[in-house]
Amino acid sequence: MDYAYVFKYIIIGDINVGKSCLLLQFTDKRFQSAHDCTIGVEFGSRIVNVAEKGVKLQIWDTAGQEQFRSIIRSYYRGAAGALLVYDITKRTTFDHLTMWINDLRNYSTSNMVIVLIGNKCDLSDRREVQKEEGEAFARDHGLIFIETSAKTAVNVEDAFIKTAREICNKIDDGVFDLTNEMCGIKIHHKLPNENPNTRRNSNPNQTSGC
Amino acid sequence: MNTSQISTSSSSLMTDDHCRRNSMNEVPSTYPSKLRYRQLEQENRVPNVAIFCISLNNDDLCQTRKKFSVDTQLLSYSFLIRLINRIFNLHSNFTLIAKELSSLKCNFLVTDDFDVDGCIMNMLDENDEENKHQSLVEFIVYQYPRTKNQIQSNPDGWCLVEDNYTNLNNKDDNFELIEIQNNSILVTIKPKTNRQETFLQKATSWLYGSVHSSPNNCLTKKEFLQMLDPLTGRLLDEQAFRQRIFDNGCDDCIKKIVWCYLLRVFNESMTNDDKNEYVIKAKERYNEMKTAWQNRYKQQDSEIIDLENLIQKDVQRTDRSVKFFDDKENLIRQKLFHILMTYSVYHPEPGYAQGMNDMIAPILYVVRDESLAYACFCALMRHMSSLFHPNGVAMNRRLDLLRKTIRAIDIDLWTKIEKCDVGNLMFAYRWLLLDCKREFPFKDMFRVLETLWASLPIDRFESSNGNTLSDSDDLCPSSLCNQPRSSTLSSISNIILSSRSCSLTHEETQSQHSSLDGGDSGYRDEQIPGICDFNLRSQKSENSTCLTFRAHTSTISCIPLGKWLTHFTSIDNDENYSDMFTIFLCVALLEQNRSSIMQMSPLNKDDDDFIGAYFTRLVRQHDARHTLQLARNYYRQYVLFQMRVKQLLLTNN
Repeated sequence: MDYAYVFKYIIIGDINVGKSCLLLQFTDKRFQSAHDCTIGVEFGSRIVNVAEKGVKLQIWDTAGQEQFRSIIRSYYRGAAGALLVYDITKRTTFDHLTMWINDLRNYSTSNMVIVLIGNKCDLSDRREVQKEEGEAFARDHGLIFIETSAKTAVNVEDAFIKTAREICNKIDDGVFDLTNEMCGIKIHHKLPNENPNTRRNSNPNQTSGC
Repeated sequence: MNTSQISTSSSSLMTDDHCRRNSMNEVPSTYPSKLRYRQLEQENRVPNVAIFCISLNNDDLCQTRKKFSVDTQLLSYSFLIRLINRIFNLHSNFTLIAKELSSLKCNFLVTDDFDVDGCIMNMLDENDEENKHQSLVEFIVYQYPRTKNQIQSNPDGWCLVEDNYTNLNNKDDNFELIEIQNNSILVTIKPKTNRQETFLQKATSWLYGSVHSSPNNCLTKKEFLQMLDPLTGRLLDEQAFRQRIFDNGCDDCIKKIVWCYLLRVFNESMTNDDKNEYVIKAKERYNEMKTAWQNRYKQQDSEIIDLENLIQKDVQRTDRSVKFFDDKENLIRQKLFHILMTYSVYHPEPGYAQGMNDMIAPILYVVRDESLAYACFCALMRHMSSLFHPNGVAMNRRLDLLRKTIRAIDIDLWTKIEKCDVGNLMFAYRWLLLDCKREFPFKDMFRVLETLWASLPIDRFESSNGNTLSDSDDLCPSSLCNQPRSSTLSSISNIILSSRSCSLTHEETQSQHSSLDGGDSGYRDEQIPGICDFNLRSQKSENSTCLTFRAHTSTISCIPLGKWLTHFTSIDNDENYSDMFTIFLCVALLEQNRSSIMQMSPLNKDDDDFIGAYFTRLVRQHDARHTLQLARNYYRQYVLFQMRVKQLLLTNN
């Protein structure tokens, strides 16, 4: 599939909330109950269709444990979207969200689109964090909110695509300075006979990015 | 059961070989003293390298003077002429005179190989025999043929350099120049590049390759037994042992004891009795510590319970594809869990960090015994724990070092990596943290780890703080068995130097030979007397079995140094390059996938333009044999280069 943009995403959140499983479900459409713990960063990519455009998502799945944070957060800055994940069956992972938000604010670009994900919603009998709490937190901090299950694939696709759609909207509104390499968005250089970027958008920033 | 296992194995190690070695009657009565290592370090000399000066004189005035460090295999008259032509841009319109620094104090004309041998080999001979005053041979180049009477010592007069040396251009030279600084130049054998492989060579290297892939080369039980003193069971020559492991690894049946030695849980001063005593005491001490935190767990200590949750989760998913870890009763995973718990409780700094589970798994697989595996793990962590520190200083250092090294070795690859926006090398984070443990299939990873551990100076595994309390938590032999604290700082370079003349693998041997095969290359194939290897020298009085095992490969000597080394102009001290094997492993991994990386392009319709995702997919699938071979090759060159630069710069004019 052809694509117009490349977006860089990061997936962050506490240890064992299911970050890598979300990525695996999104890229490979499968669930693995036991997999290696993530060391540093692992990567995945997939092309999705958003607003009639192909968008390639380059996803950085980061390790949850604190030891990795000091190095990895210095690379938040180059991301256009962030998936902040907590585990609805574990209250502490929700309690740590403020810390994660602060980390994002300090180490990322201000235009970054953040989606808050309450994962493991298939385990509703063990739920410790109500959906309303998640919604309220997202509202307070201006985040998109969605509950997912990496196991049953519920809303996983949506979480990634909603983020991409929001980034596309922001591009159309001219919020991003695409000439800045740190914005996490790259315009895909196409073969000369087609150039939808200049056609669709009147934003001068974009054409200069080509 | 495991305690008995190790004790029987070490005692059998003693008895098996007892008779044979006794009959040789050459058994040294003491194990190698610490003194020897120190001496070697002080000497700081690289064998098979000659150092001399060449001055260019014009009208009897010295114009330039350069200092050279040359592979002795290169030394010949024709080489000297070509070297001078190239360095001073001359066309053989000169005469060459050697300045004699000995008592005779006269200069003589150099006209053939015999003269070259006369000045350089004699000097090497002298210096070799503990002659600390290292005199430097000086060659003087007079740019125009001089008249007879100016050369007093040689009545035959000057002779013009024959013309057949002049039409050689640099491409045909069999040597490579690496300029350091202060007019100091390393001259090394030209690496085999751009040379078409003949069918014969291809066939033989294929043949050697297949030979190498069989485990025949590795350290066998029989050979290992010969490395132990038959009476006491002490390891006779730690250097030779480590070098052997670095080159070829060891057989599965002795891996357990070999790893205990590599990680310094056993050391060269321990006799069989000491080892047995240690194993028993280690078990006691370990069980004490385990019981202590288990009691806290029973009392619902929240700190312990949190740790339990964290570690249990990771233990369950450690190397889950390996059958060994999936026994029905879950006993093995329990052992993993206990070791990690004990370690974290007794080492609040750094505590448990993800990735430690990866490192304990192969150790437990090899060692089997829980307390001994714990001791090995503690030793390994003394080397690695800084990498797990949340401040990321040690990891950042490794990342920087890797960046620098990729740039030095393969600038095109580096440019491509930067173009792909992964100049931060985050895809290599796991490689660097876990010493590439997850990059190879489980069965191949043992070789990688033991090679790496053998490359490290042994003090990396020893506790530095001298705190007996923490030493006993770590089950250090010094604290459990009243062993003298072992402080033989073995410099890593010794290992490499010996290995380069001892046991190169077949493939490496092959590549050395093919680099020497260049027809009229003029390399000296014969072993030059007087320039003997560190080990040969230091072992003169020791057992002959080791000597024979070395002698048959001793003619292989020179490692061609690559131009990439000039990017490492600053001299590393040992402290700094002890990480380098890991770095070269990572570069080797990249080089193995070079063509795929170079082809990645956003124009490709498929998903493959993302280096990170590419390597995420390749987890546990890399070829250990080729990667190791390449890494060893880089590493030897690097260490040898560092040594030669040091030696050259230290030599007095």
